[in-house]
Amino acid sequence: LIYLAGDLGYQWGDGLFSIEKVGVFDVLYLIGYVVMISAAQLAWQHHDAVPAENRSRSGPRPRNVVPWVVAAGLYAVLIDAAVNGNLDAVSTLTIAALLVTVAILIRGRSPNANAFVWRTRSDSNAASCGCEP
Amino acid sequence: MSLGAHNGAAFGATLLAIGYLLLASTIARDAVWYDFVSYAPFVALATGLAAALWRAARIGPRDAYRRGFAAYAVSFAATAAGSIVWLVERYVWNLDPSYSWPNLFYAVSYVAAFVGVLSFPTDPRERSGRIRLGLDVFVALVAGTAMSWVLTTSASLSPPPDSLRFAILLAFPISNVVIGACLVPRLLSAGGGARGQSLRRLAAG
Repeated sequence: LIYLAGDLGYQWGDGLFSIEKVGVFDVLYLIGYVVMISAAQLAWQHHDAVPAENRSRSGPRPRNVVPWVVAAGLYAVLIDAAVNGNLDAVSTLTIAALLVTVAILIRGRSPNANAFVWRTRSDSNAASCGCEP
Repeated sequence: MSLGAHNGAAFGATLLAIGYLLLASTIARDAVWYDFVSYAPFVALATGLAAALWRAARIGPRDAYRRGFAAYAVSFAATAAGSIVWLVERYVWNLDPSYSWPNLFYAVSYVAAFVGVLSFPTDPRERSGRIRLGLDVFVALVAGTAMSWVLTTSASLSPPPDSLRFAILLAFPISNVVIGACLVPRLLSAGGGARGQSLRRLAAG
């Protein structure tokens, strides 16, 4: 995702934001590459013995902030377009912001919104006592 | 190596790479070969990443993770090859590589990345978990499409280019948004264990 953000940013404004001649989006590319290399190294050093298809989940997952970050980015671009009087962009972005807001509201009100984390914790408790969930 | 040491090594490597770029841009900012100097770390990183992913794809049980890592290795090998062809076209043949052969390698890279993303498992057990993941993908897809259209695509398509340029200009942002949207559920539903951690990190990267 960091690499893709760098790629989209590069297409958006290569050279717009730079220190010396180093673009900000080059830095995103670099961070993305290094993070992915460290992921591959982690997978190589600590590989699991059981195939993924046969393995039950264990360990709590991190809190999900991705939709909020994406929505915040969209609203930032919308505000920027509105301030700069870019009306074509404002109409497109307003529709997108409306759809995203509705999706986030539905998501927050879905039943058992925290079931993911709760079930995972019960799994890890079950694993620690030796019984199957 | 512990997870903390991994994070420290990754952070240090990123700082080193950024430092190299800043140094190169200061020393060689007006040199003809500046692009070579600034491009080199990206080609090296893409090659190193492809090798590291291939190595990760050859260890452990034969499962979805291994298939995903292998496809990703092919993807970044194609990226590295495309970048080398880009440099050769630009500096050896003195051609404009923007709408030329490197795009073929980049196309292979995107297809392989897409196959890799789809290979990684997402299996929330509850229906509500599946609905939430679907909504997260929807949010990423809508917001990514709107932002990339407004910020990059609409500007580059005005005035309308010829059909080949049109296809190439559209292919990059569309591929980025689709792969990004498919990565979101992998990032959010990766389980515990070393492979789950590495998948989360790969998706974030």
